[in-house]
Amino acid sequence: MTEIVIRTEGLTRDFLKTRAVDGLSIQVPRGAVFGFLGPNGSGKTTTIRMLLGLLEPTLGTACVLGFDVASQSDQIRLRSGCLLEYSGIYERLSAEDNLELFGCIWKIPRPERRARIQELLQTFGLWERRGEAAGVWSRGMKQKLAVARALLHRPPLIFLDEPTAGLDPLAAAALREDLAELTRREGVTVFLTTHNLPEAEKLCSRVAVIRQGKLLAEGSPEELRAQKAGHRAQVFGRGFSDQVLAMVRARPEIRSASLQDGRLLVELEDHSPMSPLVAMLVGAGAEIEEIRKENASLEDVFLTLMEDGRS
Amino acid sequence: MIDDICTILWKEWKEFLLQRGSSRKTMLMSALLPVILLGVVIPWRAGPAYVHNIVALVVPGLMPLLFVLMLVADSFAGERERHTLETLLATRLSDQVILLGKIAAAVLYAWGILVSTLALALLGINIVYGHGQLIMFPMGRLVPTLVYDFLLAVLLSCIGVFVSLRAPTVRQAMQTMNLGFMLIVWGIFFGFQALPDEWRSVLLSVLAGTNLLRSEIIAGLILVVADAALLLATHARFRRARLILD
Repeated sequence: MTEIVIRTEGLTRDFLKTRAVDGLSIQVPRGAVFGFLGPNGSGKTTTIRMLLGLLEPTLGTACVLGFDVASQSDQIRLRSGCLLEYSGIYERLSAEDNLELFGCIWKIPRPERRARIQELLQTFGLWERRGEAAGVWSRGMKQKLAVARALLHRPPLIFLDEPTAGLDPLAAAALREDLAELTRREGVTVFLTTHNLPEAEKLCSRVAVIRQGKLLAEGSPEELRAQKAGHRAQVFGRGFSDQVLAMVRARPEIRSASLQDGRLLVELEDHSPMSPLVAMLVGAGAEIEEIRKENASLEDVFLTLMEDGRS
Repeated sequence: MIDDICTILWKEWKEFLLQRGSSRKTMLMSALLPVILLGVVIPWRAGPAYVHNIVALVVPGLMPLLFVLMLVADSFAGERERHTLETLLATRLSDQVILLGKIAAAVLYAWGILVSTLALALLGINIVYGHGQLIMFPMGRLVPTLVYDFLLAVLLSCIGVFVSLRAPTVRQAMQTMNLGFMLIVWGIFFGFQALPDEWRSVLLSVLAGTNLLRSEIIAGLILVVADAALLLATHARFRRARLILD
């Protein structure tokens, strides 16, 4: 049976009259890279703060690594690493001193600490510049240093709050690669918040989508794609007249249909088969050469969920 | 716990000394400049009479207290301003360790400057003017200076941390503290002026030393009680959730 590292039940947090997190119930299995997706202000950071015991929930419960967030938050912080909203790097100190400081805080013995700092800085390509004040570094380098700091004491769980936010595409891709490599190598469970959907798609084994503090969906990216987004297909051929298009649009299993460069683009309702549509097209006189079925991206799922949430 | 307090202390000192530059030379200069000025230059100019001059203990005693204010203003407000506070609060360190580490960093820095300044001054004077005789501060002045300076540094640190816990920026923390101290100084000055003549003469006779030891002990005890009360109040004000949301 899969061990659950984070379990929340009805987790809720109010700020005066605003409900930032609303009855959140999620489960994060050990070893997963769990993507917590949502637009700005959806309650992602508040959730991380509650899971780390930095904020008390207004209602509900949460258990992280077997410890209750309300009464055993010190045990959770002892066993986890984090990169929060800001990198939290001490900019007057060098990169090496930053890691040295947190190595001392986590009580890593000196020889092991030295070796670990070197290993992490080399992995992130920062070793050569370890003596420089971190304040003169680029944002990407600081984020890498912050990830190194989160992993320094080999915690079984790390929280990463939008680690690539504000980075240029190259720096973001580099950080993503390092992150994927390190989490794989160290077998750590990652709770990652982001609104960068391609990033979540590349990194995450499970995702949850949140909007205005409410959980909209949870599952693996594949499950969400299958559940929430319609199947798309491109039909190549000839004879797709306006009349045929109108007939296609009138079918109950069709969510949308359009013509583009002579191709017929259709989006089907969940789990609808293609064969009745193909039969109808052939019967209407169209000549079909090829059909390409496509899966929706996580971004499509996300947008669909946001639309559903609004309506 | 002591190890953790030392870790915070190391971080606070290093950050404070590196605020004007990132090199170790700058850091060393920032640390040594006040000690050299007060422990070498002034005693060298004053000669052996230095140890009997009351200013010789008052100035090195008061000047480091300014560093206390600078350090504690930066303690929480500075971390909040530079967005490092939440990361520090998300570590395994307890509330007490973070709080005591920051207070200890300011107190020991100021007290360390005083002790090293006086030690350096005595060393220089004895080498140059001693001729085999030990030249020493009068113990009746030296011991109260060391004790009061320590207690005052704790008092100022607690007040400073108290202010810094809620101030959004270092500048605002400094402004609040400056205003507070101005009010205290003016309060003492005008309060003294407002006292009846006979009360004033009693107070002056106490301060002038008719029974100095008793007055010193009473003042010391008042400071100890004030320090303890402020430490407890500061600890009660330290709440992780509020620090993050402020």
